[in-house]
Amino acid sequence: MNGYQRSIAFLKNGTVDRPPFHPIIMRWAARHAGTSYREFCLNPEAKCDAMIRCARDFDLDWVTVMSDPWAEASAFGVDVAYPENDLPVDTGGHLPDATSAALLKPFDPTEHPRCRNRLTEIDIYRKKAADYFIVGWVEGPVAEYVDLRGASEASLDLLMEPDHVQQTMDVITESALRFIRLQVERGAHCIGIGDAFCSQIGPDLYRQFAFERQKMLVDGIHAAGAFAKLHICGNTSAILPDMIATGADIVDIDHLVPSMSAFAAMLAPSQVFSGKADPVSVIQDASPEKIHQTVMRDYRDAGGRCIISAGCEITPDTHPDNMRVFRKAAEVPET
Amino acid sequence: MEEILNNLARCIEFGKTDKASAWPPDMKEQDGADEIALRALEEGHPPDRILEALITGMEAVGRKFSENKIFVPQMLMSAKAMKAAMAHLKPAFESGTARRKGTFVIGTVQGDLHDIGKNIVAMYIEGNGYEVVDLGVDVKPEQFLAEIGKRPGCVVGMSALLTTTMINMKRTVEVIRDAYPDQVICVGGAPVTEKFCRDINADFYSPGPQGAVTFLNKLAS
Ligand code: B12
Repeated sequence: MNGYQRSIAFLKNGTVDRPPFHPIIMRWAARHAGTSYREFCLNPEAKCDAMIRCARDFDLDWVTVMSDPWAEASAFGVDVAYPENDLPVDTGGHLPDATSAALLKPFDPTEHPRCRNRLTEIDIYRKKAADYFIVGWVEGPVAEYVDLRGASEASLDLLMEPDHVQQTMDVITESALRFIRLQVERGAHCIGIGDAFCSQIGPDLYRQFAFERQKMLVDGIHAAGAFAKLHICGNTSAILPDMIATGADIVDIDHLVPSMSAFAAMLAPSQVFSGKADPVSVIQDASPEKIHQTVMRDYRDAGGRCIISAGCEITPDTHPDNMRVFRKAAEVPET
Repeated sequence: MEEILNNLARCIEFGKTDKASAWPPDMKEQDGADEIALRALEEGHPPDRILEALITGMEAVGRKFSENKIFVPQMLMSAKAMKAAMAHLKPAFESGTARRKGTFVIGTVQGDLHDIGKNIVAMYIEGNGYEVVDLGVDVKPEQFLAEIGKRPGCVVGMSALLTTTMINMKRTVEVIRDAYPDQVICVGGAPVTEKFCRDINADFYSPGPQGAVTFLNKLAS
């Protein structure tokens, strides 16, 4: 089975030789391929070559377009700087207040370089890596609002200016739906929705602002003909039942969620978790035995319905040998 | 505690900044921390007693945050309410009528832009009676050094949220120790651990703000 076949079969609850291996790699991939991070973020060829090289060298089952959260924000007008060998930084052009946020207009992804790059990346994957599960990406409503306003300001807006925030998030969602359709048309098998800040706002605000919109995005992804993955890192225990209820096919779980066992029964037959080893204390720092045991335990806790990955991005300092051990651990026995 | 100070503590606990503030909905149209702190001063309550009320409010906030009863947005609203009250107390602290327990210089280390955790720690420590100097994010070792030079006896706090910037925390500690071997340094942030704190020769680690306040109070007493 290749990565594409394995991922699809697993998602459809079919027979697989082993669960798929989908570690999130960004800075780690750039480093492994010897590409500067600026190049990785801005040059589709460089990113795809790095990702494909990692997928081949470490036997991953997927390739993704992930690198940083600023593609949509720059389309909405945020200024972003790309240092040669460091992470991109937002340098200005944020929305000054919640009221002006409500004046935001939906954008056309084909008119913005970073969004166009994402489409090009999917083209490249379709050409060079169609044997892998190809995953596109959009920012979720809360994450994008945070990118546009700054995290502290956005947090206060949720409480003080709920109506303006709702309007802005409608625009964000409309733009994301457009971006989703384009990515699926170009050949993405799956679209990830990144909405990490949701783990910081509690279940009430999650329901008030995020749930319905995430569900709309999931529905949009399904209508376009792809699988949906919902990524919220941090301790999501309080919102996990809702995350599952969005209907996302892949629900990401971070290590801060104590165990998947309490939630596994909530999954529909067509849904799986992806997670949840701690990228730092386990994948980067632990012994091969510990990595192996953690993966086994998590897989069992999920009743076997779990893609093997870490709770979030593999750290750039993770030794390639640990990645090999991690991949090997994906050969879990039947539960 | 007197009624007015109780009310002030409640404003901090529930994040009621001022009368105009729409949050929380069930305190609409009521005075907030801003108005109440000012009135308390005008009525002659000593600044130290007013500060105690703020601390009581902050303790409730900290407790609820660690029990997952409130989250980052509510915590930041409380921070805002506290800032509003503190603005009225500042003159008293500056003139020496009231005393701070010490000075805490905090920043997110070089290369790291995450500031929510740092802001929460800063406001919690300020709310517990310390002067807080917030150097912001992406703080270079030299900036910490310069600030320490200006504030003998201060305690330094560093925050890092990325494994890649934890390394910069190590370097910052080294640079500070070269110039000020006895400088007290505490560290925190999601990926930081007790062991890492020991490895880089910092003095104290706490997973959240309360531990840092307990540590500072011990130093100050
Ligand atoms: C919000 C956020 C962002 C925002 C930051 C906005 C802002 N102004 O802070 C943005 C979008 C800019 C961002 C960017 C990035 N982020 Co970010 N982000 C987060 C997120 C969602 C929440 C962090 C947060 O605010 N937590 C809430 C606060 C209250 O918690 P806290 O910071 O831990 O602080 C508490 C304690 O740690 C402690 N504490 C903190 N500091 C101190 C200091 C002292 C002295 C003491 C005593 C205690 C203490 O007390 C605090 C209160 O309890 C987390 C994921 C998650 N869901 O947790 C990722 C996360 C931190 N980010 C991550 C990453 C990888 C990135 C990027 C590299 C992504 C990318 N590829 O571009 C960039 C890096 C940018 C940079 N150069 O820093 C990773 C870090 C992985 C790692 N360990 O290395 C995380 C964990 C997500 C993940 N799982 O991958 N991010």
